[in-house]
Amino acid sequence: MKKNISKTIQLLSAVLLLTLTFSCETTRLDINDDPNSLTLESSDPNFILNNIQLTFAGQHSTLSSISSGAVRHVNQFGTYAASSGAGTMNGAWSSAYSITANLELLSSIASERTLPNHVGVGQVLEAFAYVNLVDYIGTAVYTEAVNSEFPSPNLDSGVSIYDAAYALLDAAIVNLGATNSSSFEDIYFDGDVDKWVKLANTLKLKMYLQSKLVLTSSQATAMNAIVTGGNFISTAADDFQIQYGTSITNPDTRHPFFGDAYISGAGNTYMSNNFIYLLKDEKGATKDPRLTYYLFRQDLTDPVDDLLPCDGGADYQYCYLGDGYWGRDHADDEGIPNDGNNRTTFGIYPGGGKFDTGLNNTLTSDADGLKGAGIHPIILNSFVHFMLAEAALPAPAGVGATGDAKTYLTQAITASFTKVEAVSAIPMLATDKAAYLAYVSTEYDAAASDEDKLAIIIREYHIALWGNSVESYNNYRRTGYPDLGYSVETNTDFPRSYFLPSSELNSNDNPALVQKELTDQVFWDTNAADFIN
Amino acid sequence: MKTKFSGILTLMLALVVQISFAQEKQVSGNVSDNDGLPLPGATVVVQGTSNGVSTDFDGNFTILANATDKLEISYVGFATKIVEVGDLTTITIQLEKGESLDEVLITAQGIKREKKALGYAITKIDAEDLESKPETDISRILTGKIAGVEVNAGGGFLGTSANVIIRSKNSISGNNQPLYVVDGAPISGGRSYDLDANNIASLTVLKGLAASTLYGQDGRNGVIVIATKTGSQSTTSDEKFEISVSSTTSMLEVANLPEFQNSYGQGADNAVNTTYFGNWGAKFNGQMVPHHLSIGAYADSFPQFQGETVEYKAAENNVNDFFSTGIGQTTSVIISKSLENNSGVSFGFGHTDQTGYISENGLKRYNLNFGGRTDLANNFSINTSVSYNKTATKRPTRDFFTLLTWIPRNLDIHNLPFEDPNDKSSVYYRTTYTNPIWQQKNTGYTEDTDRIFMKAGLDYKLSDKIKLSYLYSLDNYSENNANYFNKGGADNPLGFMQSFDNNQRTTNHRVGITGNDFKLSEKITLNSVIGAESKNVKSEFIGLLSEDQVVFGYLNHNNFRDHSPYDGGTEVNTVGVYGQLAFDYDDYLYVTLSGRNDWGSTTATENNSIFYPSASVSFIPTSFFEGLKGSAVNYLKLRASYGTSANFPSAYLTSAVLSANANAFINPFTSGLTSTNALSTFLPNPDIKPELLKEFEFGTEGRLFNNLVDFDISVYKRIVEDQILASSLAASTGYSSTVINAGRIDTDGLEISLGINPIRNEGTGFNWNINTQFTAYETTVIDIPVERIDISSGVNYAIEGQPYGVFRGTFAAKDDQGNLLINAETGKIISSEDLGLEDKIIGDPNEDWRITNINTFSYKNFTLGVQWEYIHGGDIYSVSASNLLRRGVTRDTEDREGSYVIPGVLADASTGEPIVDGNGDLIKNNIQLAANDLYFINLMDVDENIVYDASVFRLRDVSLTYSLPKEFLDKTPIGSLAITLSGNNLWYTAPNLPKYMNLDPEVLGSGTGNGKGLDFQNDPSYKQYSIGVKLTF
Repeated sequence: MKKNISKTIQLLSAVLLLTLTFSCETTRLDINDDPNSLTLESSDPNFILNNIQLTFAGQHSTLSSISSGAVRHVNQFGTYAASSGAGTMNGAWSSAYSITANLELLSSIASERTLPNHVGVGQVLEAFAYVNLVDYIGTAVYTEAVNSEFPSPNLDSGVSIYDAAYALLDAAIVNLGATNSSSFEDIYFDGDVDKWVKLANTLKLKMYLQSKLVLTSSQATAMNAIVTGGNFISTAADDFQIQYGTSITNPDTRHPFFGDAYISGAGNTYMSNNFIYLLKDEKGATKDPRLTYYLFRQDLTDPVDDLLPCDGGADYQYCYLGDGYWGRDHADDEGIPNDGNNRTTFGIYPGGGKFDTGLNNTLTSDADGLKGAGIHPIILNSFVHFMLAEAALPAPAGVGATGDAKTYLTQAITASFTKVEAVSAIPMLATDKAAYLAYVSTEYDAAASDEDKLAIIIREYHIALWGNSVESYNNYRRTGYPDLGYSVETNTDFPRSYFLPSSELNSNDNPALVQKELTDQVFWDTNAADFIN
Repeated sequence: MKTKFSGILTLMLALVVQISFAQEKQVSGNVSDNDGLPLPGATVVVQGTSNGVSTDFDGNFTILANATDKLEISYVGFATKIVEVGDLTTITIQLEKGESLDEVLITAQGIKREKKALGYAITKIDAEDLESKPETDISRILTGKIAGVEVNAGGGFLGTSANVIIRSKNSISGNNQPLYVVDGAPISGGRSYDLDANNIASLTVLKGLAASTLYGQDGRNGVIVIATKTGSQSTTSDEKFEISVSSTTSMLEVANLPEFQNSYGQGADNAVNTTYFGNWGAKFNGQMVPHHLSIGAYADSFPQFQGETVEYKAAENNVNDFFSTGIGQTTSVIISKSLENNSGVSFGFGHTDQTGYISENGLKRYNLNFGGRTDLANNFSINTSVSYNKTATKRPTRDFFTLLTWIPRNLDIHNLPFEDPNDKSSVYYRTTYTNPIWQQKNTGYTEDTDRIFMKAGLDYKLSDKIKLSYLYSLDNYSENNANYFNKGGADNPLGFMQSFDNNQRTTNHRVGITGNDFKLSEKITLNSVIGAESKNVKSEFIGLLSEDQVVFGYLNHNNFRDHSPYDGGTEVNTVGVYGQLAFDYDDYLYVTLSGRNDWGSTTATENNSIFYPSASVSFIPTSFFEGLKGSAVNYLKLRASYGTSANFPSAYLTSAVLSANANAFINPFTSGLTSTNALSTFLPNPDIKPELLKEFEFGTEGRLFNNLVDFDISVYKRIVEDQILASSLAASTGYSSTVINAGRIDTDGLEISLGINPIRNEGTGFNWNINTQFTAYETTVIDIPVERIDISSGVNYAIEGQPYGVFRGTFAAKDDQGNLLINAETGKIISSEDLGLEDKIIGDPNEDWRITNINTFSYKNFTLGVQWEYIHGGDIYSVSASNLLRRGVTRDTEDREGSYVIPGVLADASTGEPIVDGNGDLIKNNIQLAANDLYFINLMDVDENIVYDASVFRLRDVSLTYSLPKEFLDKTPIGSLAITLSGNNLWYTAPNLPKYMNLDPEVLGSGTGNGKGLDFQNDPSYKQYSIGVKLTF
């Protein structure tokens, strides 16, 4: 019996030992550190700043794409309401808060390392991102944003966010002026802090001009100080833009226009007949020299029959504009024919596609033109000159800032031509440029009023903005130009601002957050309710 | 042989006894069941002695006994009877058949218990209901067979996972699939189609929490306990037979194609335009229209079609011709041998080769199973089994059907080229879309899985009553997946190929001490178990995505120009300690107390332990009340239980991480790669703790009226608190989501299993059995900390006070009186989205109840089984309906030449304000629309209008089996031979869906995810016919 017991104990011990040996790896409970991700301690300030830069790029190009149909840079299918649903602003909204969250992470590292320039760059982009939210939505969460004390943050007024952005830009300028800072990677200005300071000043200029209907006298003074100070984006070297590349995958660095028109089923976006008209026919025989850079005709023959369902439709303003320029009228919601390989599409500027020689044009391919290495223009020196032209007009058309409006206008158009030539590396005919400038000059001189002059400035700005519909959307609500008006279908009201993003409404339990309307006007838009349509 | 041997033994015994006790007399008799069928091999023993005999083949026996003796007659599965000998010399004994009072079931952790002792619902399915079926996925075979078990196929491609829900979904954000336990050891879930259904000896489903407590958190969604023929410790039901061979040949066809209209073709507003998707053109009338490939883009590739015309007419079978009949062949061989010392060895081989209704879809499977067991000297016994399984599946990419079912009615797609003769790129009438035929031939998803499952059990008998057990199991599978798209398609012009290897290893150790049959008093017996278990689940994946194919059609990573790798993995451990005390009181009252404590690795240390107990009671009134049992009430059991379980969060939710992207952009100045770091938008929760689940269950089981009726009824209430919720956060907080413990969902359910045997004849006469399974439950979100949680696809939501998974979406705006608001300019409805109105609840995907009815008829050697099902209620959100109705391809939209006025009142489309006339009254809409505008532009634009009630009646399964009479086989080595003709999913009707769409509500959903009622144009369902032969030697 005793022997049996000891044998049993031996056996039991053996089994237990065996179990423990085998099960060691199955009984550990301290294995919850994620092997798939880095920890916060290993974050690199340059990489964080890269993320902020790219997030801003994403926000701006997304917003541009959203309003490109409304301002008739490209075609809008169906009504304004149908392309302005409650989810429209989700991405742009979260981009702003991503910038803030990562800027905080960057700042926490900056407290131990010398990184004022990094922070300054981040602050400029953060200010720009919130200005964009105010311009599009009229409001945003700002003072309570990205703060664990406020799980359901409140909205701030648009005007208070503008004010906060001015202050943030001032702080950024101080940080950018620090000389002992580590260098940083920079996809915009290659690490040139002076250019970032110029951008900060230019952004302020843009904000002051955007607020011209509600501008205080001290703001007007501050604005004029920037104009006279001259430390803003004024040459091509200062242009604030995203430079895309030709890499196809991992990462795909090609311009979104190129992706839309030259790969994955060519010609998905219809060009707007309004915009084609503006470039091609609006000035009579004087064609815009940028036309063949901006737009590419895949098919020079005239569409007929099935490929042109609008033909003969009573409601159409243009239907087809001739010369192979094959777009679509605003708000047309009829069925789409199989014209993806025929319709006019994005050209070499700014999407990095193909220059339209008008000879043997064929459908686009991913090996065409600049292979996607275009630019997304955010604030070009030409844009600044248009702004200065507007600002130089006497109030109320402008704000009476220093300088001559027509000089600025001419400089602006010339700078625009130069930019297009530079990006595409294809020069324009000097005679074409001169003829165009002469036409506008004559028209401008003939304009009866400051208001008419403003109309010309903004129309030309709208043309130069091709690729950046953000400023066109802002301009249209501020000035009512260019005159866009017509829709094929009876349209809903023009969105004077966009809905609060559904993602925020769905997740923010703050009862103060209630949906607004598309007809709500941003604080700087004191124009009449039926001012534009 | 056995009978003969015991006969001789009896004879010898009789001779010996004859000599010694001359006063004893010879008693002969016959033992039969209550249907009068003889019971061969029943045991007849003189009580209190070792004097015993077995009945012969005809149930006859002869035994020597005194007049004062009592004979004890017993037979497995029947109630033992005791008869006083007295003056009798011949005795006829009928044992209560099917009483199954002593039926022994395998419960949690392999503990065997009599069914009557269980205080909770448990259902066992026998081998014959699972084998020789055309369907090879074990979970799909279970469809409808068990009350409370819901199986949704998810799609008609072979080799895709079915969604199995037992009782209800417990978790809003987590996994709701059951645990599969094979031969006592847990396997990785989600791949039930790896198992060979023909090798299953029995399948037991533990539904409630009291039943599954001992399995720990993994058992919270119910447990499917499978005993295989090769691996189970107990001998199989076919004990006599040592070789069993079954072979099934099946045909598979698509079950639910829409009924297409063949009167109108491409165009709009009754005008032909053969470049359109929509079929709103003119009526077919011999018109000549441009050839579909008369397109400038194809001028070089197809000069012959340029400028050509063709007749505008229906290509009636252009969709149907994509489908063909799939063939399946399944063979299974099982060899087993029982040896002395409770030993045995077995070997099984299974092979399945099936093609789907698209020839590019198929499944091949091999199963090799070995099992062995033996008792050693010195009280040890070992049992081991090893299975190797290989499953290879292939199919086109699953979005194949998104375009296919609504190709234009006049597109003669099968007689048009689909690829460019020069570069093999896709050619289609819509140049910016990929031709479905091209997609069928040039895209694919393949999955090749090797799986090894092994277990080794070692038992040591400390005494007759105490046993020490150790069980080790390992389930290791590696999936080799590839997903490719040759270059030249319109959506992926460069082509891509993605390979990823997914390895998962589940290791489990279990030690337990079982103590049985402790007599605490004369009437109280105690059975007990204590044990400990540790489980490790490690999964890893590594993959490579290559893009930009060089040479068309060659699928090798080195034939692509760009490559991006990715990898990752998780490891989770759970350690548990459990115990159970089961008291039997005098064979009529049973009380079981269980508990388990789990420690998990996915929480912070202070939250990593959770204890959860359970208790159950079973009471047998027919044993307690002497007079109750009779021909009216044959057997009655009442049961009650309270069970709990837990659910640990998934790995790596407790600490903050950085999102990093090495290749985010290319710096235009340096041309170097721009890398990024960013704060993850997931907010970690260091305080996350396990969920606690509780369930009360009451039930009754019984048999009535001479076993005419048997029933098993359960009602339960389940409460899941501290739900681990993936909660979205407002972007303005800097995060997009987090995980929290909050919220509660409750489920109330009723399950009824009812069997009726209206016609019972002895022997080979006509028999009819009706088996009905009824399931109803309602899961309600009682409390969540936020307004709503997206469960799946932005359509299924958890909203407080609402059923689990209600649909939320856009709707047609209405005024206060409920009138539809109609755009005063266009006559169309106004979408809530256009007005910025918040989405609202637009449907509930949960059915009210479901019923399955299985009729079994047997006559002589024929058995006919018919299974039908009805599901009442439950909505579907149908993208198919949206697309097919929009494009006007089905007969639903054939009647279209009139004009339509949507009833409603006119309103301003920008503000949603109703327009009033001079008197301030609303204005009724009188704007006429063409059918085209009604469907294409308007009605389908709001989510609300593509939600339908999905009640469905279905003929699930019909099978006819012929077993060759024994006498035919007596002279052959064959023990039995049965031939089965079977049909699966033969017919269904869903009366509230658009009539001609033929949508099958069953192929909806999101695989094993938590979505429900979502139709995103999945692969349609199939029906199958088969002939199977089963032979035993």
